[in-house]
Amino acid sequence: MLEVRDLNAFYGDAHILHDVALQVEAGQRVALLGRNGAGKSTFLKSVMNAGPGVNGSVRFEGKNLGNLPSYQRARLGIALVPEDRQIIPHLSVLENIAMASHARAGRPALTPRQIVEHFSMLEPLVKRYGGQLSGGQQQLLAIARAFAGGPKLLFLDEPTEGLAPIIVQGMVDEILDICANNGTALLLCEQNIWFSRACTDYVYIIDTGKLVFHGDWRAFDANPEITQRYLSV
Amino acid sequence: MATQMILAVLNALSMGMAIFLVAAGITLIFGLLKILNMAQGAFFMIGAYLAFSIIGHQQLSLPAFIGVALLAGLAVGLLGLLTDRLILSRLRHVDYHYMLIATFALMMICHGVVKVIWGVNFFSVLPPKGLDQPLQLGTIYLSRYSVFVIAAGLVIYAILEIAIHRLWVGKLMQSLASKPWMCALLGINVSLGLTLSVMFAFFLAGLAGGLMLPLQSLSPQLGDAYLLYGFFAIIIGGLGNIRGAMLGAILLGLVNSLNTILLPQWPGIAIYVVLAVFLFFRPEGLFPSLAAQPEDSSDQNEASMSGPASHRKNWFRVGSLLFMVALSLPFWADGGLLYVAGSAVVYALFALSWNILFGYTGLASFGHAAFFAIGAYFTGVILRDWPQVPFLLILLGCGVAGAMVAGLLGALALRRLAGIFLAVLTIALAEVTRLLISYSDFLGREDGLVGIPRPVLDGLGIDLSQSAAYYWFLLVAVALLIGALWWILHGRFGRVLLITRQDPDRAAFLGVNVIRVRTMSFMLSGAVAAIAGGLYAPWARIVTLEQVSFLASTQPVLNAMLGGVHSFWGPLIGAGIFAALEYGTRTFVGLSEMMMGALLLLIILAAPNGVIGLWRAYALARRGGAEGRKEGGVKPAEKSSRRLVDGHSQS
Repeated sequence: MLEVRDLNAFYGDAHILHDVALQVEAGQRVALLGRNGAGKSTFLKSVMNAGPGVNGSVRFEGKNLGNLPSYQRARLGIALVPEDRQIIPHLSVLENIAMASHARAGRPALTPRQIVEHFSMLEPLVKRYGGQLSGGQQQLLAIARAFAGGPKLLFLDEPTEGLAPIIVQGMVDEILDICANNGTALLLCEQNIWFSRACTDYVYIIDTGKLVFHGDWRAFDANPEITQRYLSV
Repeated sequence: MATQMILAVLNALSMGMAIFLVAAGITLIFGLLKILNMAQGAFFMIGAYLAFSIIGHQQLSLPAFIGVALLAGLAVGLLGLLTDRLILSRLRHVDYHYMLIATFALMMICHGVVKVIWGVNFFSVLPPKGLDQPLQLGTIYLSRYSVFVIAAGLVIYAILEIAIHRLWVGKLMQSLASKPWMCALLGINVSLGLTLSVMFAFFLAGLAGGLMLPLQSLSPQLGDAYLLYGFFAIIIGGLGNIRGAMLGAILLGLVNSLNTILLPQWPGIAIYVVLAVFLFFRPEGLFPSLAAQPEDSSDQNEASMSGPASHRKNWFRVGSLLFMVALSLPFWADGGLLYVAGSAVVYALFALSWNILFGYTGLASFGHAAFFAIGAYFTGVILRDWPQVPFLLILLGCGVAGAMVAGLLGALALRRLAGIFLAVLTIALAEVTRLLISYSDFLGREDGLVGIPRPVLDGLGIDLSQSAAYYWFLLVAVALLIGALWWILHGRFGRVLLITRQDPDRAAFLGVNVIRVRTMSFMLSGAVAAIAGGLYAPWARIVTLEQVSFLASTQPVLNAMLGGVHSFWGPLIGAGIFAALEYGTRTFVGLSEMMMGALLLLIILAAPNGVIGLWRAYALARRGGAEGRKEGGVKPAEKSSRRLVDGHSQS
């Protein structure tokens, strides 16, 4: 479904990603692990063409995306939930979700109401303004919002960052459920190994802009030195 | 008396509606793009002229009249499309001052175009049929047209309020304004959305121009007045919201109306007083809108002030050579060339004074001519009436006067939102200076000061009445001043200025009193500009209101941008090049505004670091350094990507 080859990304003159190759199959759930500054967010933004200067090939459902602007990539069915959530502060929760339906491009998608019902924590908050939510509520809203566009592939950028463990535990089931129900593939960028393991079947590890490992979780566990070398702080 | 009051209120409200429609466009563009569109008044004027061209001297029926206004709005909306595609969209991600300068340049072009197409005569248009008769209420006769204008303004206000706060399109626009990066990821075509919004704001300006046309006579000055009043309405009402713009506009209308009744000999002055009071006591406006606070952006342009040190020796040689050539000028040049050269020397100092503010401190003044004129009139009057005062003392007085006015203005503008408030207030300063001079018999009203005598340097017994002598004096005085400025700006004070430009927040964390440093820089800039004016008056021997026009305020901006704002010497080089250009093309003076505006715009779009920036890029590229790519021009793609990511990580 998503096929990235020889991807190089730049901020100005700084070369951030080096020859990254990564694949996500339809309906598959994949994790991309790495430390702060390893290039995880840059990778997601590069695939969306939303920031870094990029060269290399990005194919989505067999189609080369070339220079397609980010809003058209979103309309093809790739949804990015950024690390800092980017909730629109003066719109209500429901309006924030509805805003994402611009990415639907005719695909069937859940209505904002149905989405709120799925993320039960948001239900009592629908009339609140985005700016009045707590960090955890904003994170949930950011994920929920992505589904209003009927995404085929969901990018989550460090969704557990700064959240209470109890909320993180609840998020696992909600994410797995809604992805399964809608046939949405997932690419999860994380530092939290427990959460990643609970959500995905396959792992890539990135370090200083280069991919250093990929395999399933069994292969990951068979190489304990990987955690030591690339993920521990 | 009661009748008079009712009429005054009616006039106030109809003027307020015209101001509101300009202000609404400015506030919409500001809310979305975080830029002040200085050309909004000019496009209002173009809308009015377009409507005039269709209507001419006939009297239309009301529907036809409204149709013409809509047509003018559509035409101006299309100009908005052009403006956005050619200018605004290219500058969306650079420092907002470049955008301010670009819209200022656009305003100059509009003025030039209007003068070229429609001339400088006054025109007036009849109100549509049925609205030209007075409306009788008991014993009071009201103008039906004024009532119509007020109704039209209120209807447009209601439509805007509902669209922005109730309809989906308004929510969409607010989202674009606050989180453009995320909106794109939600599948929204951000660039198209912004373009449509800009077009709509321009449409409003054109529509207003058409609807308000019979309210006043049409002249090329129409745009300036409404631009300033529009700005003031927004400052009073609070940046970035429609309700504030409405209230501010009505307030200004009332103030102006009272002014005509109570102080008929000083028309248009009270508005400035009210503005100053508001800025002092309520700088955030009546309805401060958090969503629309302009970011006090740190400088995105990483071009540095200092060039490669190895070239300094070469520059020094070139500089000395040029100075020698300039010194020898009176021996071989004719009077015309000498006059141009002397003026260029003064303008070089003037441009340098502007760049102390922009290049070093990161603040743009758009009314710098006010300081120049203060110095010029001050010197002119003293030389005319008190010739016994030593000339050097007069120049010192100019400096003090300039610094004091700048200090006063700085106290009003630099306390909160530095950049944008300063831009508006400096324009206001130039305008109020122009008004005050034009009301003063002592300063020669519209005719200016003529036949200013040249001074004698008393202590030294040097007579400067001959052109050559004064020219040499000019050259030496300017060289000494420039040397002093070089010394000041390359020392500790200059470095403090540079860090406040690059990152005001960080400078504050380092213990720099940012407001004080900015005010001091503004005072230094004002003082130097006033001294330049003081040197100019005896050289030209005539000082007129033209010295306070927009054109005069553009001069230092243009010279500095042309030479390169990221170099101490840039403004001087720019002034030299511009003088040569002007001397070469002096037969085209009629098109001067258009040419200056277009040139300025071209520099901003193609070479924002000016001639020196181009030279540095060339020098670096020749040495094969990879870093050479950084300078010389803003590459839109690279800039935009960097800025988008910055915006994202900061929010």
